[in-house]
Amino acid sequence: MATKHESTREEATKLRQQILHGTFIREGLMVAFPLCFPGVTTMIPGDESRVAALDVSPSGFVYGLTRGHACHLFLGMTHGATGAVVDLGVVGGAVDAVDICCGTNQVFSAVQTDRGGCIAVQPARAWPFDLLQEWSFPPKPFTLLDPVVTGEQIFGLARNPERNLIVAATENGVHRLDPETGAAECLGEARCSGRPVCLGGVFYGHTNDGVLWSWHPEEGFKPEARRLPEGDWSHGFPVWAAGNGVERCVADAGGHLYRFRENGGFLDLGKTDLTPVTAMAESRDGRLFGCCGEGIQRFFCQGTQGSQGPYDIGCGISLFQRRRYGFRFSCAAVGHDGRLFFGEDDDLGHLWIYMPACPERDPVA
Amino acid sequence: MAVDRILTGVGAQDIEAFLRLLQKHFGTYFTVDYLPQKTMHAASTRTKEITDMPPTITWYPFVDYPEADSCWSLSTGPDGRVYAAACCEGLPGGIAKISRYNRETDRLDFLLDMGEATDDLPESRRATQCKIHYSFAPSPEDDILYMATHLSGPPIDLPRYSPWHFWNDPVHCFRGAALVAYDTKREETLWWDTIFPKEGCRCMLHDPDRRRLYALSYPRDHLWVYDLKKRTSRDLGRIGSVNAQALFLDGRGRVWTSSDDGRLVRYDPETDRLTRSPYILPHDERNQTGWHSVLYDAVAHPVEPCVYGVTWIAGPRLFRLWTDEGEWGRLEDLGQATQERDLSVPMDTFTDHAGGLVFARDGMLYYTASRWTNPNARWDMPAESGAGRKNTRQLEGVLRRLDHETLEREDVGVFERPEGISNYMSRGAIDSEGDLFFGMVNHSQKPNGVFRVELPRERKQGRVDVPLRMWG
Repeated sequence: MATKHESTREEATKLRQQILHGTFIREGLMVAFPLCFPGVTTMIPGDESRVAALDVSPSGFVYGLTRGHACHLFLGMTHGATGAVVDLGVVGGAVDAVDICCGTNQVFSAVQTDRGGCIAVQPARAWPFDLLQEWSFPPKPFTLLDPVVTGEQIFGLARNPERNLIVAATENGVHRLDPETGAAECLGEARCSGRPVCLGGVFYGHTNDGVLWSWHPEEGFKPEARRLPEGDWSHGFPVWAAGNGVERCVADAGGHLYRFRENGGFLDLGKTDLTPVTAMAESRDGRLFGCCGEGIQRFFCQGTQGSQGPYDIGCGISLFQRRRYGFRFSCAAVGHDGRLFFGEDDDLGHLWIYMPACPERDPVA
Repeated sequence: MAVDRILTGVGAQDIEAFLRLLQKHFGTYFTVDYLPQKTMHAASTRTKEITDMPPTITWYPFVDYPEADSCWSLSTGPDGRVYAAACCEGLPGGIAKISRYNRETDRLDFLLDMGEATDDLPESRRATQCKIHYSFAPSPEDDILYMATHLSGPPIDLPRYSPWHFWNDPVHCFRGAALVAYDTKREETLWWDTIFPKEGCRCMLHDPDRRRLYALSYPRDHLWVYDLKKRTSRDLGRIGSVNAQALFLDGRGRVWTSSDDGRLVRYDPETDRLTRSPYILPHDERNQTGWHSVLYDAVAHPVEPCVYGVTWIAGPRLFRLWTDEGEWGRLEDLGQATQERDLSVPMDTFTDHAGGLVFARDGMLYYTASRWTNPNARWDMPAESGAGRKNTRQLEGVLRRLDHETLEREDVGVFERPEGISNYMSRGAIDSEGDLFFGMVNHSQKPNGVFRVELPRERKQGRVDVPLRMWG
């Protein structure tokens, strides 16, 4: 029989604070940036602004792709004398947004069309003038290429850190894209599923058979390079963390986290409290941040100590720029100075900038 | 007695204090007309002596449910009677109960316990069905009053509830907004359903032509549509982070509400899309940006294609929207509904409040607004010890009347009750006899309840036919 709550005044106050405030992000700082140039442009329409994919350019700008009633490419500039998200236009013909990849001079958007998965190419943007003073963003056209493979769905893109190798995964094959034109060349056949990833110059992707294919320009294509650990790798999983290192974290549909290294296999990091894991990013000091759950997601952190499993750090909230709750996120990217970006998978989606808290250090003896 | 020459240029607070002094000494009821102005400090004033009798205002506390700490919802049912929700969100395990004004006995009858009606008793340890928030919606075709519950009340074993914190808690998480179909003729619950899981219903609307209910969910601020024929819900998308408190329907079946940044948001069933207005609702540009100027209350004019609304922010703003003019209608700023104050203080929206918009048969718009003379007035401050009347902070709720033709406003009465401050009215409604009713909220000074306003005969029996309001 449930009993009515009774506690001392102090206990009740503490519990109330914990319930009300303690549930929101407890480490680091989140800022929700609207998909617009505040005070200058309107936002990308609400039902066209669910952020589907993010990548960071050599300049540290973050490019994103939205899905919904229309797919928009946008450019986020959050350092220097900038502070704006610019809508670079609608990808005509796209029925869904899949992934995005920043080359050196071009931005490649992978979209689904009626004819199959296609690549839309747009020239990358140079640094603007001081955006507190003046601005000019002349339109640049999209070039929507023919489908990578006619009739085949595209699952994602990956690039190497040098940005001279770009790979696309479609339903039945793996393809190399020209880093300037986006033209595709088939590397090999595999029943792909989910986004590919690049670790230390080697590209990996998941197949429907539960194995990872790999491709390296010198070693070639291997349709069955590695077997994934036991787990639920269905429904679009694995989800790879955004990062730049030779190791990368990966999650399965059951929230199991692993750190994968080419020569080290998969290190079990533990399991998140909630599923699914939908976006993750690794900070420069090796910590992993991600979000999990349904409806109202929660963020978690996996520290650098392997023995400690992921722990909850709270629900997304932004108190600056926009006062907003963050409920769902679908993608992440790593910024140039340790900041992380999360793309909000919601109507009137925002670009969320996360600045992780400084890790605690042992006091100097 | 005309005093406009003397009063021009004097601050609004001083004018009101002077008028009360005149009233006391001369026994004549004076009012001040507020001309619609974009900024209050530029307002000029003009007095007008009204000739008809003031209304009779009667207080009906929830005597049968003294724990009720709020009356968030009050609406006219399809039977022409007024229904009110006695809500309990401050006590662990509190439940909403539905009451109705009984004209024969001149009291409130309690009809329904929402926990019992929806099989969600407090002993479950879930966050309770503690209120109906602005979610009464009548259906005149079949005499049904639809009502949907909202969350905030803590579970029976906890001091507080947060839907974020308990979202994944299998024991305490709110089950979801319960939608009840209450037959007002047979006086029974026909059926109930969960309109959306885990979230509360902030406000609701009935579109009788399409046989749909629309509702805003909290905390995720999604607009949902509920098909009454199929009894299924569909999520139409997220609006923002700060719930609007009202939905309204235009003549084309489009559902209007607002977003955090003060823009109107509209759902068009023909296109199945949510779109946002190019403009922001009126707000005080001295200290506000439009953020949080969401829709608090809205009422349609009985005849003309316009809607009157008021915003939910300290310094609430009245506006009128002609929905049929242009892509996004023609919006008129009717000025601040309450008085000037120190803008360096983040005033709370319970103290500085306007609401209860309702048309009466005289064709006038009635609404309530806070008024205070003590700048430290707070809606929930307890009485100082020894004080007989618990309104020691000089904060009161005023009943105002606005003329649709001239936009002139006048004070017509003050809400008073022995238990405490009565400045916050959630909603207003008109019954089949032409009386106006207002639901009152004051969490600290119970019991809560309902005010009935009986207008002078010529106004009560006016010739304007006020149609049934289809939203909460």
